[in-house]
Amino acid sequence: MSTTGLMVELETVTKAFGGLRAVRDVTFSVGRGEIFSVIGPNGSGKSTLFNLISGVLPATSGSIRVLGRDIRKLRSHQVSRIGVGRTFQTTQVFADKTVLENAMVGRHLRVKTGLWQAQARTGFFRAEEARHRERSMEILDIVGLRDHADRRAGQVPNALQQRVAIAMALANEPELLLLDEPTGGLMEQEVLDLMALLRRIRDRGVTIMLIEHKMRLVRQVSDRIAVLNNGSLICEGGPDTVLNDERVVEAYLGTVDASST
Amino acid sequence: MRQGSKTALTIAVALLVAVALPYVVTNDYLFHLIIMAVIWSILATSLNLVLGYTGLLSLAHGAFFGLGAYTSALLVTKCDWNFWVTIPPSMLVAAAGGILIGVLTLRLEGHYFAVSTMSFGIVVSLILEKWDDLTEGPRGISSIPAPTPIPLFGLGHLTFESDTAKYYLALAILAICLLFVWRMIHSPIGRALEAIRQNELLASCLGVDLIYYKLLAFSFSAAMAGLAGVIYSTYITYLNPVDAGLWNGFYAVMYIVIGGMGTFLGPLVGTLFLVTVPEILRVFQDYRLLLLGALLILTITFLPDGIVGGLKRLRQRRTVGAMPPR
Repeated sequence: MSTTGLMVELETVTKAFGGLRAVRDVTFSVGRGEIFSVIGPNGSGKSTLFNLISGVLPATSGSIRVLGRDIRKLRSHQVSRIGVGRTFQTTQVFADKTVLENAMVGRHLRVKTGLWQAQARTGFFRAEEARHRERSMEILDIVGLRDHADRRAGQVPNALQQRVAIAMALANEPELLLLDEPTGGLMEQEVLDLMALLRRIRDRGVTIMLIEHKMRLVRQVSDRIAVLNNGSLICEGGPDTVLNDERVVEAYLGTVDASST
Repeated sequence: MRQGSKTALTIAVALLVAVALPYVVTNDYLFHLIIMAVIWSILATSLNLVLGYTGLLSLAHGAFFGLGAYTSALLVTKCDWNFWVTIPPSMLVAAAGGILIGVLTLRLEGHYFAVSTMSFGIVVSLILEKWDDLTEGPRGISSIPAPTPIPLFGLGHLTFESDTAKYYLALAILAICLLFVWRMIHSPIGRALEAIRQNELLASCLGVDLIYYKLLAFSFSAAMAGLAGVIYSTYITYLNPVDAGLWNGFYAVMYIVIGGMGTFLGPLVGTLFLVTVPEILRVFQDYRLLLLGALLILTITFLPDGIVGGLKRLRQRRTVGAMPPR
């Protein structure tokens, strides 16, 4: 548990791929219970930043603390154990498995029975499996997938697949949820539904970090926003301040060429 | 419930057929083939755990098979151990081989992993061939006795001299292995293994320790392959380094690919198919292998997920087609 109440603390974090510095000297922190959005043009290092925070990639330099723990030397499964769940930009689910089975895989960290109990099919094992099934159904309820529990994840509509991914990440009951562009390919109404879902998840005590391009969603749902451009943090703060900031507008629309006037 | 009772009925019928088989099959050669098919099924089932469910192409299973076979045969012939007592150490030696090669190579991906396991297989058969003092080198170990009789508390002994008795022994071991794999796959561990096969990145972000679970699957699979080797050694009564070579591992891969990778019954179906079909093709004499090759290519082309996978898809399509219109 963090002593400062901060969920994520980044200090001068840099990630270099050879000569390319995808993330440069980024410093910010995320407080408990926030919905914190990371925005920026394509290739600005947002997804790389998420990969650093979730332990998928090691940082080149700087310090990353998640729920108060230094995660620089941890790999992704160890970071998830601290209480971090995540989804990916290109929605990743286990397509051959049913939606319920996907959620059950997501409960991996909550499993207490081992191989021999599974072999003996002990009462404890059966009871635990039943409990995981029940908890998984509750989580499908939260994300609105209860009616699709028995369908194969690869066969549910695109808009719902992202929810399968969210259900999987939530199934471990994380304290921090990283969502990489959850609205990719969604229609207007579906974006609104997702916004409501994010608030519901936050109200259950989960801190959310969000990479997003749909500015209306970002403005309405975020408590704070960080803007990346070419790997550097150019602005951070509340939605109204950030989205009206000159540097942000410039990063998205390009510089107004002064010589042309 | 209906699904459950259907499964129970299928299992009961299969068991009945398997138990009745020695009384139906009178041809000695055919019976020999059936026993071999049961032993290869144990090996293929062990490989299915890593290749089918976890997605690791191991070419070292011939070596694990050989390690189990040699350990048991040496302990029985040279140390006069009771056959049954040799089973745990034989499985442990095979598992140790699995852990050793696993620790060294499980960080490697795809082809690199496959090639490394193949090299391990070559090393094992070379050691068995060159370590003459222990293994009798290329001459091999002969006159391996049948399993030690089990006393039945005043009711005489349960002996394993006859082929029929050895068949029942192999069958019982196969059943135990199938039950083990079934329960492993239908548990959180199985979910983690299948998650690894389908998407390692996603699995690790859900908290699955990739190396730990791969090593777990690999060591149990190796132990089971070793067990298949133990049964082989006592049935065939003669071992040489070829029995621990690459070919048994390659055949096991082929049984699984033909039967259906990652399906529970695929290894059995594939083994039965590939052990019996070449015999049926004997009527074509010289063209036998040519036809077998063509048959394999056709199977892989038209049934990419094997015989069992193909049947599954067929059934799915039928159920979808049978759905009432909305």
